[in-house]
Amino acid sequence: MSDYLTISSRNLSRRKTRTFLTLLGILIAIGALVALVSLSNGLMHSVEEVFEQMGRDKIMVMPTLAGFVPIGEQFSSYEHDAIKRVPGVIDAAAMTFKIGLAEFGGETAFVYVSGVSTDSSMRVLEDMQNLVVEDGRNLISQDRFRAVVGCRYAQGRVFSREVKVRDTITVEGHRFKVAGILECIGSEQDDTTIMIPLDVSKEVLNVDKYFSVVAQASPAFEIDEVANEVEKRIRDIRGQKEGDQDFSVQTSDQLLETFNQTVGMISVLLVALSLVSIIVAGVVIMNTLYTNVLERRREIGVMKSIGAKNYHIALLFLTEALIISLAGGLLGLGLGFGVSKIVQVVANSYLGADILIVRLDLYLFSFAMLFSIGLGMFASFYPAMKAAKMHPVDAMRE
Amino acid sequence: MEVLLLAAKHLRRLSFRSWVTIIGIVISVAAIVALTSLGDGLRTAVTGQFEQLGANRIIVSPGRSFELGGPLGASFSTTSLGERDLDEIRRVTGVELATGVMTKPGTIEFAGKEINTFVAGAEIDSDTIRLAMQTDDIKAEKGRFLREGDQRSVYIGSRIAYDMFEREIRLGDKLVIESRRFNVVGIQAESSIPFNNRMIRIPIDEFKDIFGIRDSEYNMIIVSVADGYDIDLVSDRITRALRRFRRVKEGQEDFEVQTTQQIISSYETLLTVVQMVVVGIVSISLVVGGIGISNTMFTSVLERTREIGVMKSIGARNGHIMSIFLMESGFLGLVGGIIGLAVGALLAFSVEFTAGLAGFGMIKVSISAGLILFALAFSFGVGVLSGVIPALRAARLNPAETLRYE
Repeated sequence: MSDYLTISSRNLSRRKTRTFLTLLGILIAIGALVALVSLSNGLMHSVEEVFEQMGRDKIMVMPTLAGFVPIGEQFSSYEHDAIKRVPGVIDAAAMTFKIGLAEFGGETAFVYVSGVSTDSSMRVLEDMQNLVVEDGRNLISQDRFRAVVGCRYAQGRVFSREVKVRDTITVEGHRFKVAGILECIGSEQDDTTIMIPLDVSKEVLNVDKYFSVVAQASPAFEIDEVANEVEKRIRDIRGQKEGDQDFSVQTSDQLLETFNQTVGMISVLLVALSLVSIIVAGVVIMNTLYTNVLERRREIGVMKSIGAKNYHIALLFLTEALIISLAGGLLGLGLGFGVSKIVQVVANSYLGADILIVRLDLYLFSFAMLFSIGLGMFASFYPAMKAAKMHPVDAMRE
Repeated sequence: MEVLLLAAKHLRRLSFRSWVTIIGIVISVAAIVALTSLGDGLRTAVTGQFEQLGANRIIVSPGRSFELGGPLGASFSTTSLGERDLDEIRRVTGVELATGVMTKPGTIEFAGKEINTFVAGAEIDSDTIRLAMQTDDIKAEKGRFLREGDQRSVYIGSRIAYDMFEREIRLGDKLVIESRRFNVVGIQAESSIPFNNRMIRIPIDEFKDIFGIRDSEYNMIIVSVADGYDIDLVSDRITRALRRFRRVKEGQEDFEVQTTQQIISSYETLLTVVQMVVVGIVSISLVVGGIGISNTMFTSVLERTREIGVMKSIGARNGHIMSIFLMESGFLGLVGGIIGLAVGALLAFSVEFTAGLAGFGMIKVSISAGLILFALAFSFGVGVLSGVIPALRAARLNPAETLRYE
């Protein structure tokens, strides 16, 4: 075996330019594949992380949406109370949601305004949205005209002046004192939302129904059964039949599954797109080895005439391909991972939160290496066979 | 010309290796051409849908509601547009007609089943109806559109008529909307805009009555521009008029004025970005293919060292040698480009055909002259570029050395 390695590497180094170019081809193709796969894995991982922090015990109740717009009825406080009373529900928080006019430092802007429960159930929302107060404090049940604002207010990305704790923001003509500023969540909508107490929001935003209700299920109950019960209770209140309802009830796991399906589809698409480069790289390898075979006809003839078997010759060329594809795969891993790390840094600094974390795990490592080696073997098969089957006399006559 | 012939002659000689090299280019050009032409086709399909709404329209909506799902997003907005805003818009020079639309989610009942959908209140004076009829999207398949003097009449989308209830809805059927009975006077032909197919339209006075609205709160106001006026100028004038009327400063408007062209181009931008990412990823393969060309050219320089020596010794300049090799590699690229173009087009059309069978007939592949030129120029360019270093090496060979080379 070590003989094969020495002979092959000597052959490769004798044709430095060609070896280098072939290597470059694989490197780029594998690099693209690794970058795309590691980025979409990173994305999927962070989505899972978010859901993990949100907890597996949440049940989201929302009106039927068309895109982002509710066409189903929103929820009354009677329905909210009914959800709280479903066996297995520990607590349920409610939210209102509107686009409202906000004013600060002489500037106005249309921003997302959300009224949130400030009683004990607030904890459910905090968990669910992964809210962390960076500065000041969160809303408490005694609060009236107090607001907690998203991080982009503090960065001066909504109004040109930066909003600080204890500043006053006017929302729909009412003055709110800023009680706290949230850490960046990473989505534009969340990071530009102003949160105010639920009851106050009903007056200020002129709404009487809740856009969504989030319930927390007790660990002693089967969450899917609790969710079904919630669904049934609201159907009964509304007099709707199963299948005709104008709202949806989803558990955290169901939501996660939807997300993962979407991200999974995108990553399959990306891999498929980078496969084009891989195939082309395979063609390049094949061409290089084929040329090598042609150039070394004589050498092959000599080896055969001093007793080399067909498989010796074939192994020699396969080893060459193995060396090239191993090196190409390793370098490609490095390149691809470097590119996705750069994307990670840029994306996270833009979003202001550590949303995307790219990691090189064993799975990705072996995936890329196997891919690269498989590619090399596949592409070298035909040239190696061609070399092996050469007739010694013909080969030497050349 | 002579150079080109010489290059072609060599290609014939180098056949197998050249062809493998070309295959690399063929694959990447085919992928690029197929994805670009499909993307173009998809974009044309999407913008075509919007163009049916009329290219000379201006849409005025409450602040920021557009980003939350178009006109329906207005249900999230705390501001609204009223009767007096509408009057203000009607007075702007260049405005031919302006009509307000109110949309709300509502329940409708038919054949014992209740569903939720969008209910729209439409003005039914003869002018507004003329405006509505100018767009293709509202044509009746059966019956007629609402008309002046209609009472308790409803015009329904095709999905409502055919898919939502156990029994098909026919003209003259009674539909219960928010517990009042309406008479179906027309069924809209299937619209390319999905939510239109789930929309039902009733006269605006009855709409207000049903939902208990006293003052008009329009989700959007649709304006048509009179012939001979520039749509962007009219749109600016509307913005200024509303700013004055609503007493807001520039940059702080609580309403949005958009021309259909602007709406179309924002969707177009989005689709273009997606297409660029996709084509960008696939283009990496062209780089790999280019490396393949370089590789082949290096080998061919090596093999023809002697020949180069002979050419040089009978007076060929470095420039001559260089252009022979550059032409050759460019030629490899170009041949790959031509075949790739054909394969890519074939691929795109077969996708179009399959999609058509699967019911997505709106995707029409478009292979523009621009795309063809681009693909050919690009593949030739990649070929030439990949040949530069090998050609330089060939040109700089020392004639004495080359003749000695075996």
